[in-house]
Amino acid sequence: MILTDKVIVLDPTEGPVETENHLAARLSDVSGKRVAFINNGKRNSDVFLSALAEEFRENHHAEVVWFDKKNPSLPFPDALLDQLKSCHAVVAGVGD
Amino acid sequence: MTQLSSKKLEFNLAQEAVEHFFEKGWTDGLPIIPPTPERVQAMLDYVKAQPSDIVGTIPERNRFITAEKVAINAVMAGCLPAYMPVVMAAMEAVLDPKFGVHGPTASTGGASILLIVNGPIIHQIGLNTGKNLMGGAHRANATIGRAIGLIMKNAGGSSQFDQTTIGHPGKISFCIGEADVPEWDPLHVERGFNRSDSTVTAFASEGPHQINNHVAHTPEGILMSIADIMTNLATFHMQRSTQCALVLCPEHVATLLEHGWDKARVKDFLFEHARRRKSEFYPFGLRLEPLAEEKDEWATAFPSPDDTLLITGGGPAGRFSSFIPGWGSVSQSVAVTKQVRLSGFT
Repeated sequence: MILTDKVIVLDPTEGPVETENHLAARLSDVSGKRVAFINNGKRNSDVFLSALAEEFRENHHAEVVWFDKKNPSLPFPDALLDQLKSCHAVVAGVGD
Repeated sequence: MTQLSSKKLEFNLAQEAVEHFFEKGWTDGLPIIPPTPERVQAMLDYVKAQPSDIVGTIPERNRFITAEKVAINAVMAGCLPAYMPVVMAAMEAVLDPKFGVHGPTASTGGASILLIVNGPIIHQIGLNTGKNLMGGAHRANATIGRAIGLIMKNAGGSSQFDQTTIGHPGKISFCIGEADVPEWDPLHVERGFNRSDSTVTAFASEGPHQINNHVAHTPEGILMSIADIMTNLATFHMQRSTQCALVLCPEHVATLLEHGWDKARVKDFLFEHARRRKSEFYPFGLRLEPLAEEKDEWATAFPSPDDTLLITGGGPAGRFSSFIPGWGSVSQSVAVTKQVRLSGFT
């Protein structure tokens, strides 16, 4: 017997929805700029970011705004995202 | 009526398709059933779903999970169409924001998604609630649990995001049914459903810990053994606040029933006894010295009695129960229960 029928199967994968994200305009320096730091809540992330924030404040004269992300595995709350709009830049790292 | 929209792949032999799926990294390391359009459509027809129906989303990953991708991966897992209502309800639970699926399926902590099924659907599709409860050998349990893992891997982004350090075999498949004990309310009744409803509860879990007590014939003896297993310090649940699942075997349940204990009393007892002083963490380097204002001197295995998912199951012989700790913390993920239905999953 000769089998001529092809086997047709369906691709099981689905990628992320494409969005038109783009990089914000880069700052030439942060002096006098409002810079947000987001502590993601993982252990020691606050230690690193607070040292970095201090560097920005003392040596680069930035206005530092601090946010604590209470939950590292859930999205940043919308209300806090709105507050970020008033900042010129955001430093968001992942500590663990 | 929408059409299947997934890309079609053509092979000369089914085995070629299976090997192609391995090569593409679309399996969990085991062979799959080739998801032909006919098989996928049969799955969708069983739950009266359109291919484009959105079962849920994962905002952190920009993912929309369609009924078509659920059906394709359920076929691959080996599910029958009759299992599809459970798979769809399970995905609804997994994609509920309270479950917070991004965390447990990305974490180095290596959680699995434990599914606990309740109600008449258990007997309708032949889910195992008895002997070898977590040990495989039952198609419905093995393939429904596996389907969730494949959906997350292929459509949910877990192949990209999963950073598990060790994990456990339940990540491949972890689905159990609760055995019926007429004297006790089953889990779904405790969670607000009717006994005649069928439900599935999704829970981000670590691996199961077997509890061996063949000697004690008092509730206190059995439950103190469980409390002891629950209070190992180098665990998420003792260092944070997580829910847990506890599967009581028939022989242990019989002893509890003989002494007139109900589920609430069991959970209250465990909440009172599954705890250790926070100072016990210090020799392990697990906790800094307490702050001056820290008044709570106890770490409990779970934050409240109702944070124990207490179910019954397992073979009739043997006095082995099982403790299944949760992942992360209750602020990141909690168990979610959804009703199993034959339609209306969007």
